[in-house]
Amino acid sequence: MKRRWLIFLVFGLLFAIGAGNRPVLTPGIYPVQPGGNGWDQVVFDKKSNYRPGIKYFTAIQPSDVRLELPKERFASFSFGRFSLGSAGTEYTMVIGSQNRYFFDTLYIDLDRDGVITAREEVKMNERQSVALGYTVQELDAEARLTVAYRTSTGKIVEHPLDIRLIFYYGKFSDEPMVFYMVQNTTFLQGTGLLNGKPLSFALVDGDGNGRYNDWGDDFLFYDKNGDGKYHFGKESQVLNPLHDLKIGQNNGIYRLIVPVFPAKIGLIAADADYKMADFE
Amino acid sequence: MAKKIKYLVPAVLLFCVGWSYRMPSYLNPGVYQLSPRTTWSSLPASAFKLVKDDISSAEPKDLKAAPQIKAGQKAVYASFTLGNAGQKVNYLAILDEKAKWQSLYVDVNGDNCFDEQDRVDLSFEEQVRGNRLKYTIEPVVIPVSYKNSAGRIIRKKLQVDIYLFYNPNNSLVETMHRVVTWFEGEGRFSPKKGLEYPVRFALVDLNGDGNFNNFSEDAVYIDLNYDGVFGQRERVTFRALFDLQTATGENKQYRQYVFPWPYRLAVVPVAEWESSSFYDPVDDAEFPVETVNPPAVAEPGADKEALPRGVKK
Repeated sequence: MKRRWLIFLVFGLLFAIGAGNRPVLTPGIYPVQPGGNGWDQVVFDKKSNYRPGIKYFTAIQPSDVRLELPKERFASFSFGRFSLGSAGTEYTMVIGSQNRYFFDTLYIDLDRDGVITAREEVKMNERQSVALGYTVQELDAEARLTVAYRTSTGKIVEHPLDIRLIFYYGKFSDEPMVFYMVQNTTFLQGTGLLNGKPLSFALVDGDGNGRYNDWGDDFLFYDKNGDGKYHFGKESQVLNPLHDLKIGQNNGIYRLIVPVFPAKIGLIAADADYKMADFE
Repeated sequence: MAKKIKYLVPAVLLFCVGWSYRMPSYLNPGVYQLSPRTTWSSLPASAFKLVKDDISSAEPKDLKAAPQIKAGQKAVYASFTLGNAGQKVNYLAILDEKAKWQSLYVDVNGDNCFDEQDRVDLSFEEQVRGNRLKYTIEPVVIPVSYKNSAGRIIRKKLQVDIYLFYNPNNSLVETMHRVVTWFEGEGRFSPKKGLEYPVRFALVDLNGDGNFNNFSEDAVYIDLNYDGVFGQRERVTFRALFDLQTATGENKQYRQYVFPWPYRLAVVPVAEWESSSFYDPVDDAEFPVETVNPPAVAEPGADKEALPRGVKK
């Protein structure tokens, strides 16, 4: 009995001390590059409650956008606009609705010239559709969009991003619920050291704004089990600029350096000097 | 012996858990840059408190245009004040013919008109304590006027959520709002004598008035455990004056200074503050403003031709 309690005590102590420690890369500088298999490699399960910002459509056509579309095909148009990157890249989209379905045809002003033409139609895929007394329509569309970033030296650079738009229409009573979400499925991958062992990590734009350095909203994933996938929860943590390391000679506060679209990320002593340009 | 160990186990566990938690103190003296944020996943839900608004069934005094209220519809007007220049934000909720609170008009530009561009859809409905709740999922962006210390008006965009609570008979019980814009900064912190660390902190407008300098009413969170999120236990008292032990172990009285729309948060010794002028928010080079003009006031009669279709004068 006495022995069992002692074992329990030791495990309790180990748990209490260990519970407070989160995995953190070994201090160093790590190159990153866009991941190969898109969003499928980052696994958000249903329990993760992950959802980027919900946005509404508006019936009001933005004054700086012109439509060159077969208007006779549609009963109405609804407009949406989203920003990506850090240099004012904005994309306008329009949903053409027939009477029967809200989401009929999607057009995105891909060349951002302020004119939406029939050639800019983007295919939507149906994820879920129910019409039993109530209607639920969930679709998504994928597009590779060019996004501009302002570097720390003021230079404008462009990167392609794979974007997934998720559209939702729910009609449970007279009032329909209509909204959309923007997901940036391009994640940045690198190989780092965790507790001295090499492992893959991924930087994920959690809030879908095309920027990779939103503390508290973006994520750093570690492929701890080496299955080639990044699992939300067990293998993820919110992006955090400061880390309290309690590891041997690295004991102290460390700063994670992540530019808006990084070529490298770094974990360095919090008070050390650095140039952001070295990480872009 | 076994009995003693039985008590010892929870005591040691509690000690270990408590040990890893540093009691909230405050930021060390310094002037810290702040930047606005509008996504709130880093903060606990309690950091965004709902504040009750003034409701009236009568039209606001200066109302110039509003959607026509048809037979069977009901209009409720409500308002709240944002910023330190007394900017009143009016909004209109309409109960439609099908007895649904479907439309909300927020006069974001302060032109006393509720036009189609001010319309916000209220799609989501939830049940709360026997009542129903509808709210703006995507925050409403309101340009707010702030008077700076030189008396100039600066305008800054604030994001606000609006909530309607109504009973099962669709009578509006109350309307509320919350400010979801908050500020993030990096300060210095001394967990114990001789040590000083950088630490991330958040400044939240808890009382929903759009001003971030209401001591004892607004809130500061410090990420003391470096986990990247601000927990409820990391909220520290937001006071104008306080005693602080510095890294050298010295005890002094400090003053905290924050402007209603804060560019920086300053913690300065009281004695030095009295004779100091280093923290001057009027320096345009250091404090760029988006616009220095107050909201445009239309000439009398200028709006006659500009009224959108379906709105009354």
